[in-house]
Amino acid sequence: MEDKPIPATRPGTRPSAGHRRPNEADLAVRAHAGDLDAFGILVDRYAEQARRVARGILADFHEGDDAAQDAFLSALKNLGRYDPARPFGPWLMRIVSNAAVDRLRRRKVRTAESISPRTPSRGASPAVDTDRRAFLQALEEALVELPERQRRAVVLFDVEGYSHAEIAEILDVPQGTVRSDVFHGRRTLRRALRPWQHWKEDTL
Amino acid sequence: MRPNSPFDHRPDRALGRALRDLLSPEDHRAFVTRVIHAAQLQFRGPTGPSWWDILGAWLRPGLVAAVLIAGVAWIGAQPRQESGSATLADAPLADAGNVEETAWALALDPPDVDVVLVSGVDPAGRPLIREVP
Repeated sequence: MEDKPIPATRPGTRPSAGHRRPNEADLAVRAHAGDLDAFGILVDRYAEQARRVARGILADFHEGDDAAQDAFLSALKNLGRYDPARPFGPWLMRIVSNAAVDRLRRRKVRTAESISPRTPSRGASPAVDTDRRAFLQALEEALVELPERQRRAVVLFDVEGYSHAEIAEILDVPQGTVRSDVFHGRRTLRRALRPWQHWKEDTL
Repeated sequence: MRPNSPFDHRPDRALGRALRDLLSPEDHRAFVTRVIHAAQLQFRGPTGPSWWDILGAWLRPGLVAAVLIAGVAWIGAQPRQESGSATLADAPLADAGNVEETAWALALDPPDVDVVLVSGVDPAGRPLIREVP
């Protein structure tokens, strides 16, 4: 069994000694007072995470980015409701998740085309690139097939490293539901990716 | 990947890495710029500064102009109060030596024709005009 990893770039984690980053609660307070520079720092810090979560929920890059932008603007408008005593990341991810789900529910006709193809990785041979594209395509298709709540739970847990308790708070569901969603979502994805098992461990 | 156990409550690194690779954006800077621009529009509106900003910008010059106008009006009112009763009739009827030039200059009422005609002669009928030495 592996230790629980905390992604090095995950926002909201405590900075190591020697790395002084502006406190997120202070930034939120300043942004609420109209300081757009402070808001910009928060956007810069959380943009990638917000976009990944929104893209994962919507299974569409462009719509996911639009949802992430909506979420940032909504967060800016509602910063007065943020409790600086609590971590900023889960509060923001809740807004991102809601913005993405809101778009998902407004989407009347779901198109088959969703996540755009990835650009080839630099330095990889054409054969590896082809395999990589095919693998990501299979992963994308499996992700799209997951129920919305499982997608959210898996992305927040396995990609962003949030705990079950944090995800329960973000999604406003009991922790047991989060555990169940993560379990079922993973099982579906693993089944879909079984043919790629040996290849991906060497390439990704 | 690890065995799929319902009791496995730790993140799956391999799956997480694959999903991260799939979902990660590549144009971070452009997105941040876009969001901040949208936030600026949200704060200030799409048509530029608000009417309140414009009024605020005019406040100081407006106050200066009001003070200047009030000052000029006050200065203009002062001489009228001092010579409010002076008319053109006052000058010829007064002793020539006591008539101040300002009485002529500041009199605003039109002259009385009778007074003007009579004021040119003394009771004996001799003209009052004296030659300046």
